[in-house]
Amino acid sequence: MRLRNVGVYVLLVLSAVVMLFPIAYAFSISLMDGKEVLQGHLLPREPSFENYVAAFERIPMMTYLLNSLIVALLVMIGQVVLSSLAAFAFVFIDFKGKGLIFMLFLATMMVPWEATMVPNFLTIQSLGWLNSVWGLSVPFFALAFGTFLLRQQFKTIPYEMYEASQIAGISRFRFFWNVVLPVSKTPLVTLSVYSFLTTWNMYLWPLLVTNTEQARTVQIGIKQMQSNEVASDWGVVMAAVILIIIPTLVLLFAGQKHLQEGLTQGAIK
Amino acid sequence: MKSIQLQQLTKSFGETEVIRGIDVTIEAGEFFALVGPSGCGKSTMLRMIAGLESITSGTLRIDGVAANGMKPSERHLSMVFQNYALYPHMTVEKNITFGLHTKGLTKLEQRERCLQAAETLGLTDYLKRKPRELSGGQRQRVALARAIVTEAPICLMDEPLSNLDAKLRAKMRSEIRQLQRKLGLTMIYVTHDQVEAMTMADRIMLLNEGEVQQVGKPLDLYNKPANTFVASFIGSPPMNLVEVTRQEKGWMASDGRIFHPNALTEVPQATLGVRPEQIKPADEDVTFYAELKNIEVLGTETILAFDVGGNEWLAKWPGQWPLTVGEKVACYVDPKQMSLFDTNGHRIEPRQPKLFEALEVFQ
Repeated sequence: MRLRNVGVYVLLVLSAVVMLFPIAYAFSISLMDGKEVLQGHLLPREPSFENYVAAFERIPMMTYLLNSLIVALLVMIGQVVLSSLAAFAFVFIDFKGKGLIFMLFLATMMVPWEATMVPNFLTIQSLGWLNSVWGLSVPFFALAFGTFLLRQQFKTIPYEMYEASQIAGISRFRFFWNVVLPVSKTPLVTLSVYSFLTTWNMYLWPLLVTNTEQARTVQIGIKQMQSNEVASDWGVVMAAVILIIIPTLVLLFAGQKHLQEGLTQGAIK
Repeated sequence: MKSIQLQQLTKSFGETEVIRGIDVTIEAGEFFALVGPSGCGKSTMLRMIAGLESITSGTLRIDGVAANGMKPSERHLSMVFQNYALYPHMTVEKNITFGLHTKGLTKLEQRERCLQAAETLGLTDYLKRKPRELSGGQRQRVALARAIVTEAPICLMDEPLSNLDAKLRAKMRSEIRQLQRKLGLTMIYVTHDQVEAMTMADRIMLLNEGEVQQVGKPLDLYNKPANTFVASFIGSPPMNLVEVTRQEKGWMASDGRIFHPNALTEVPQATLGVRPEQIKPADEDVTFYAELKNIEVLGTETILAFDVGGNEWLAKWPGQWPLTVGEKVACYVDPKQMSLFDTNGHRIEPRQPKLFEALEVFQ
């Protein structure tokens, strides 16, 4: 048994090293100057934070970060609000064709997002939302996965609680707000973190609907660095990359406990 | 105080009819128990009264007003659920007061009412706790407090005691009964436990497969069961039954035992019923001899088991009897205490007592 444990841990450590190497190496490069990068050193001889300063000076890093933050927060709020309301309807409200509509909801999960990209782009274009935070966020508000995740959670709430509130004359919204949401904190946090991270890391859609520096998000910003002359300066690029990773790491550490609970919750039901 | 009237109430789920034409009036301030085996439709009926389940046909009147289409909150009633349905993230106090704002009460009034309800139910020390920090009995009390705090004149309870252990159940039984009397509530109480119904209710309705078997006072159901279902459901242990055929000498069971029940009827076949406590040790007259299959000495009483016409019968003798299995004992049953049911299971009324006594004098 102990031998098996040792084996498992060795495997885990090895995979952790493999997983972490790119990030660690990127961090290491971000502290080197251009010459040293090309020499192929693993660790910087004279670590300096000059590249970070350069990242802020040579490209509008602040604008990109701010754009990304706004868009990610907007999508997160939009997804949580819409998914929880939809899930509430699917669990607590009786209407005709409920099962069918839910199946349709789930079916949209099978359609790759790229397939709907062109119609989405045309819609956003005709709304005049190119280069705006709305164009970047609104198309992602409806999330079948989020609805599904929350529906599973809401179904664990005893239906009698809903009936008791009906008898007491408590409105549906109040029940939703004061009972359903508070007892579903864990999956709501899970969904929020998931939404934020997915949006933060989004690349293709922002590339399509933004073409000014004012509207770009960080992921595009990085790509832009490569096409500019800055590209050869890997130290600066990596410094920018590390800067971009930081918010996601903060969020992950903050939400880790909730996230683990939330993602494994459906597993034992 | 409000009365509730059910007129030809039915309920169907698709093709299956679960409630078949129920007619009953529940008087204001009455403790009315709905009893029956599981799946008999008693919970459905309660939920129809509460407005949680739609009414397929018939009329429900609350205080004379047709209430079929009313929302649950418009019916001015409170309900206690089997699993209590407490809000797990709220304190006991919040649980009790949540929803009172809909009655137009200020925060101060809400608090006052909450304290009053908590005091009535002995919850004052637990107001700041969450439900999971309470025992089963305390949770039950919170659910009761939540029901009475609304001051609704009608209270519905759906098997509220089934999650408690036997000792606590007995205690809560009398507490609920006292509470109902004190507040003058019109109570409709659903249970599958006939002991609860017998001990608490002013009147009982016994349901089976969506049909009313009998409505009446607990002792009426016990002493004069309308049919064999009522006879075998009410009472613990239930009434002993045996098929009998009419003979010249009396009514004969398949094993040759003869009974002389006090009933005038021409039917050739019937079911005879005798309550366990009405089978007594014989002094002079012997109704039948019983070969004991089992004996349970409970201290205050002794339960004897034996065969009559292929059915296991139980007799309850007061006191402690030093008997052994296989022993033959003489039993006596007063003919006046035997019940007779026709082949459809309906009770055959006994001869009028007065006339019977008069005849006895003649003999």
